[in-house]
This record gives sequence, C-alpha cells and structure tokens, in this order.
Amino acid sequence: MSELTSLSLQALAAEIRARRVSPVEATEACLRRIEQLDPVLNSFLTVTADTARAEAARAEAEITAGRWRGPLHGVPVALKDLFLTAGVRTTAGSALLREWVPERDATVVRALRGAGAVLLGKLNMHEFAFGATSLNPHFGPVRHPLDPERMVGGSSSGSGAAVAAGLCFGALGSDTGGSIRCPAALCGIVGLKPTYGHISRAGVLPLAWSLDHVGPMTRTVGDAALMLEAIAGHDPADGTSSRRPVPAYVRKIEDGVRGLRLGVPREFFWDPIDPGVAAAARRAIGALEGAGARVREVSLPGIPIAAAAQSLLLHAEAAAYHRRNLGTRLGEYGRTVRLRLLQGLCVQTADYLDAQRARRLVRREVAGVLAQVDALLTPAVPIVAPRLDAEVVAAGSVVAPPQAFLVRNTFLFNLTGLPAVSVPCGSVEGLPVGLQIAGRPWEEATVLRVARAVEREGY
Amino acid sequence: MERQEIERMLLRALDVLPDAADLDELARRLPLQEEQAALLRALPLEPEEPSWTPLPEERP
Repeated sequence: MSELTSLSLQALAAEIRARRVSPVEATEACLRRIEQLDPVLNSFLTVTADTARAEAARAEAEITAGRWRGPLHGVPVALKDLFLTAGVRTTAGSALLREWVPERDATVVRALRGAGAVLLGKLNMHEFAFGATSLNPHFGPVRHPLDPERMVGGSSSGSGAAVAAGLCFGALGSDTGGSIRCPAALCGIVGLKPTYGHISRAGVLPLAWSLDHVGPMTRTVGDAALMLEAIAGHDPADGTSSRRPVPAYVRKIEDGVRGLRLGVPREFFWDPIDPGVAAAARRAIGALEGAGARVREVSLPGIPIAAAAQSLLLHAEAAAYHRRNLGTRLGEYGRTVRLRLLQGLCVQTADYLDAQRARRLVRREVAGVLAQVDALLTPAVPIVAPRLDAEVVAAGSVVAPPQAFLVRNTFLFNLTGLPAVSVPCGSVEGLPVGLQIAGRPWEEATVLRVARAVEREGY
Repeated sequence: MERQEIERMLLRALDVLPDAADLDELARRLPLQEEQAALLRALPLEPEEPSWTPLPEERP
C-alpha cells in the first residue's frame, strides 16, 4: 500500500486539515490504486473518477478558503452498490438493475456529501445482498486482497476488499445477518453494525426490513466511530429511525476496558469452529482481561430458536420485496438468490408471525444476559476466508458449504437489533480473524471502546 | 413437500409461475424450512405474546 493510501481515515483527515495533503492528492492516489489493483479484486462496479476529481477539487478550494467542514472533508470513500446515488447507476449486484440510475441520494449518501466526503464509486456485493459469499453471477466474484483465490465474505464484499486493499479510506455496507461484520472479519478490517434505527435506511435497497442495518467499514476503530458520527441520527424519511441524539463516539473510544464486565457465551459460537480461529479469539479475550476487564462465561440457550426465526423472517421479507419481479423476471435472478426468494414465498404467514413472537423471547434472553455484563464477546466468523471454488469447508469436525458458517455467529444481533462490531484479533496462516463485540441498545460507545482495546494490542 | 403443493404455493404467491422456477431444487430445500417452522410452533409462547416491533421503547 502506498504511504498515502495506507493512512487511516483519521490520519488523512488530520493531514488534510493541516493542508499537508490535499483532497485532490488523496483522491488521485485512490484512483491510481483502483486502476492497479481492482482488475484483480473486482471490488468496484462503478468508479466515478470524474465526479470524484471534481468533488476533491471543490473540497480543496473550500479548505484553502478556510471553510473546513469536518474530518470527512476531502476524504475519499465508497459505497456498497445498494445505496441510491443520484445520477450514478445502482445495481444491488443484480442483472435486474444493471442499468438503473436513481434520481436521488440515500439519506446517508447525502450525509456523506454534506460532510464533504469524496465519493469514489459503487462497490460489488452479493446479488441483492442475499448471501454471504463474494460470488456474484452477474459481475464476477470479489477477490481477497491477501489471496485472490479466496472469497472476502459478504454481502458487503466490495466494501471489505476495497477498504482492506487501500482503495478507499472507508466504505458503507449493509448488514441483515452479518453482511458488514463477515467481510470485515475475513478481510482484517473493522465493521460496525449499529443499533436498529440508529442509521437511516431511506434510499437503501432493502433485503429484509426488520433485519437490515447500515454501517461503516474502515481500517481502524477510530475511523468507524468517526463515520458513525457523520451518518447516524434521526431521519424522518425512515419510519424506524430513532430520535436519540448521536454521542461523540470518537472521544469515548480511548477509555479502556478496566472494570468493564464482558460475557463470553458458552453455547453455539465456539462449536463448530476452526481451532485456529478459536485460539485467536481466546487470546484476544485474554488480553482484554489483562487490560482490566472482568470476563465471565454467560449462557444463551435460545440461539437455535433465534436461527429458525432469523431464517424465516429473512426469506419471507426478501420474497415480499421481490414478489412482483419474481412473477415476471424470475430468469434474471442468479440461481442461488432465485431459489432463496422462492423459498421465501413458501413461508406461511402464521409461521412468519410466530418467528416475530419468538424474536421477542430471544431479545428478552439476550437483554437478561446484557443486564449482567456490559458486552458480549464471540468470534465474528468461525472460519477464515474460504477459497472461491470451495463447495465445502471444515470448521473443526463439521464440514459444510461456506454459507453455513459465514454469518452463523453474527445473525443474532440482527434479530435483536443490538450493536455489534468485528475487529481484527489475529490470523490463521496469514488470514485474518475477527472478534465480535456486541452490546446493549444504543451503547455503540461501549462496543467501540472494547474494540479499540483489542485494536491497541496490535494484532 | 410435493411438487404440486409447491406449484400451488407459488401460484398463490405469484400471478404466473415462471419457467425459470427450479421446483425440484426448491423441494429439496423446503424440508429445512419446515423444520424451522416446527421449532417455532413448539415454543411455549404466552397467549397474549404480541408480534415483534423494532426496539419499541425507541420508536419515534
């Protein structure tokens, strides 16, 4: 990675503010890197080089004139291709929307523009975000920056690869079962799924309304906190948006973990698992204990119910959204997503409602545990990045298709709407491992603070 | 699940049953869905237990 593109977002922001680096220079460095590396990585579906250059020049002029808007001003970032962008095609990784050009921006895109960020383009993803591999039948697979024969996870695949490879300083992803945290873990970056309702989803193509979240993907915890501050907050255009004020997250992440009570669930998350992943996560948890956290085992016996509820809700809600196109344009969907959507049409209404009722039980169980501890710690993904051609992979003694493992440890926090982050915590044979930290509703500051303590260990 | 039953279900959900529907593969996947639904049907839910709403205390 070149010296400039390897900077964290926060470090670049400081350089831009001090006028030691210009937004034009940073943008050109990213565009050069995209040109060099993306023919292999395939992380971008659309590169908006001309408008990015114009935005960078405008940012530079404003900053030179003393009108610095804040830490995102002049910083090049990119968007998963399901955020609506006025005048720029938005495909959702699908053939159906291959040429669709929206007329408006998603609320979060407007927020980024308002903060002065430079938008480099739109990122590859699993078709309609309905899957966690980086295999896209219409635009090709996203390849891992450390080994192009491996997948990066998904569905925010391009976001994970582009941030990890230094093609941009941060990206937005979406997460319905783990689609931010999974690629973050496999790529060795930070991915935050905030509390349901904290970031607007207006202008974001849905997968499943009651499970969808938007969040930042960055190379450091501080960068994630910074992006969260910029895009969180109430949006009247999103009926599920909270009116809670947005705290100053960046200031709180250095508080350390001394005295924090951290829970490690004894069920589910540790079996099946790659032993190397388990060891890396255990080491990171030990380091948190060494830094003063009080770590204890906790019990979450209701997870099998949670998995059933998540699956039924996800399939049914996705099928509802796609129903009209399923009737008329079924052949344009990729085979995997097509079958998942047809499965969704077969979920019965009463089962859907029972799944929603079961969800309350699960949420109560998790809330009960989070009344005893300040945050939960689990491995984010129980395997490392699988090969692109892997039909099955092993997690300990269990052998199954990659999809069976990729969001196994993350979906619980979509079902419960709780904030959760994946932060790098080591590697297995050179491939990154992520630790997942989940907390109480609206306590993003706590999960980021724990994540920062993990990051400080320098994995 | 029987192929005809799947066809009926899809026809009910869609106006037409497109040619591209892979009903045999779908029939192989649906038993898992049925297992998941059965797990939830066995839950000891209180009669008045309502459906879920996202973080209700925080609804605008």
